[in-house]
Amino acid sequence: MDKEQQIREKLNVIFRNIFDDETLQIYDTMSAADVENWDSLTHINLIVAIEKGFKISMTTKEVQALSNVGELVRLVVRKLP
Amino acid sequence: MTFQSVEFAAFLTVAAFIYWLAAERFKRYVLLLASYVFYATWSLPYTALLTILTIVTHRVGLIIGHGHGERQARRAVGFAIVGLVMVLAVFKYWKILLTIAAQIGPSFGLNHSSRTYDLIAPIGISYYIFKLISYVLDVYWERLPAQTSLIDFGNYVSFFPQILSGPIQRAGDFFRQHPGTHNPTLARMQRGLRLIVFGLFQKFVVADRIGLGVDQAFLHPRDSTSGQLLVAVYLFPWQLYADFSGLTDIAIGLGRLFDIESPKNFDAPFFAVDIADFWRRWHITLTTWLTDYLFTPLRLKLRSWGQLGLAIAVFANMIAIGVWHGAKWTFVLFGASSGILLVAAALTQRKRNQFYKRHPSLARARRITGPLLTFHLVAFSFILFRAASVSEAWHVFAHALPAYLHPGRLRVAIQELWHGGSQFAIIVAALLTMELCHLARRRALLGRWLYCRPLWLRWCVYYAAVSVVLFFGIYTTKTFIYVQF
Repeated sequence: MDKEQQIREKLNVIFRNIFDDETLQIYDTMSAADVENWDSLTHINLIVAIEKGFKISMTTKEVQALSNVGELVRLVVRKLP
Repeated sequence: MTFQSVEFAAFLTVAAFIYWLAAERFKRYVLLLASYVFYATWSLPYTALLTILTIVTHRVGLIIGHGHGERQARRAVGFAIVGLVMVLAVFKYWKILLTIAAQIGPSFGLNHSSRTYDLIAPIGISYYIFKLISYVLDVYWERLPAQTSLIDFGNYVSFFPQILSGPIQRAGDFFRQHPGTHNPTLARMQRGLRLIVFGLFQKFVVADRIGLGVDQAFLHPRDSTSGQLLVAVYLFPWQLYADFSGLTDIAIGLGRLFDIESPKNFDAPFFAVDIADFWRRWHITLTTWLTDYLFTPLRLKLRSWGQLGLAIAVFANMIAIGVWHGAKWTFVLFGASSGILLVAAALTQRKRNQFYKRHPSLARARRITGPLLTFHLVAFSFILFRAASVSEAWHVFAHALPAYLHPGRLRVAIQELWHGGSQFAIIVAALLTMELCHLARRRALLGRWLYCRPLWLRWCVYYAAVSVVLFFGIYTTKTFIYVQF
């Protein structure tokens, strides 16, 4: 399994936990409009959980530039050593 | 020149005709000229201020967007945000700033002049400065490329249907539509004109008719009975909603005449199931603006603070909403009370969602009890929004509550406030019509229904709608409530 796939699987677990939905399956074009309860509050909870889960840190500019899950995956890949 | 004046109708007709007839390459200039002529009718010196802020912000956008390096981009963003916020603060809060200067000046060896200054805030300044700030941040956050054309940027900032009181459209949404390059279709123009008539209905038939009684109670709360105050508390949210929703619909309708779709500002707010849901449906373009440019950056900065960081960010956001309306303690307390409610909602959101998942029957009942409870919370917090001072707000609150013990007096209060039951019956009928239209619009039912009817029937509906506005409207107030903000 390549590194990006591992990241996606780990991200999927975090998404399921944050949104309390065991059936949630992330995909690249998925955005806040596609997930119930993905609002400004849960968005920050999601970012914090991802930072903790991957032991990375994102800047405000990086978070604000994200528009879908695909961009989030690429950002996490870039941040990991 | 207000939207409801005869002069505006004449201006709109001329501007729209020139726009439609102009060659494609000239349309953007015609649109800009129309916006500036409209704004200049309010104040010529402030038109100069609008021009300067537009040119400077456009230049800042180019510096940020054209790869001069992160350091210079950060500096440019800081310069623009601080400058724009200062301009807004000076015009909106100059009285408070002068008071502070008078108090702290002498301790720094500055003499306080006894001369008083009168400074009237430029019309629409809160709205267009918010547009400028969001543009700068969007370019910095790489959500949007910098706009190279000063004319197109000028059209975004000064677009006359939106400049008085929004909706606060985002630059990306505006530029995506290539404004000032084409004429609207006939169907779109019809949709625009229908919305303008509906906006006038909400303003003149619903809001101003409710205002006849509500304004009387809030202007003289100490001369009003307990029953009159309670009726005013319940009806003021509807007056404000109809007034602002009417103004927004007129703005959206006017935009369609120039083939520009503006964002919506309301989404059936009084059907919200909790207070957080209410703020997602009320003055949407302001609340989403503050969420994106204040709440989220602040929440991100404070993310290591856990729930305390969340509470601070939510509270700061709501105080900003309150203070945005003006430099009055009533607005500060309005923001603070809404902030406390929203913090409580945010901290319990996850638990409440889990609870309703476990109890589906209660979740169904919540569809009725939720909006009822939310409406009461909103109506009582809006006392602070409407009252002239904190002491009057407290008087309204304390004296309205005893009326619950004497429900029979509410009927008398209604007859006193609107001089007879038949006037109130018109309000109830108008409110029901307004809400049915809003609900039908949510599902695009009304437009679709009309579209399928024969031409003669459609025109009958249009004539009937205009006649209702003319015959049942109240034409004593001069302006919309939200124009003052």
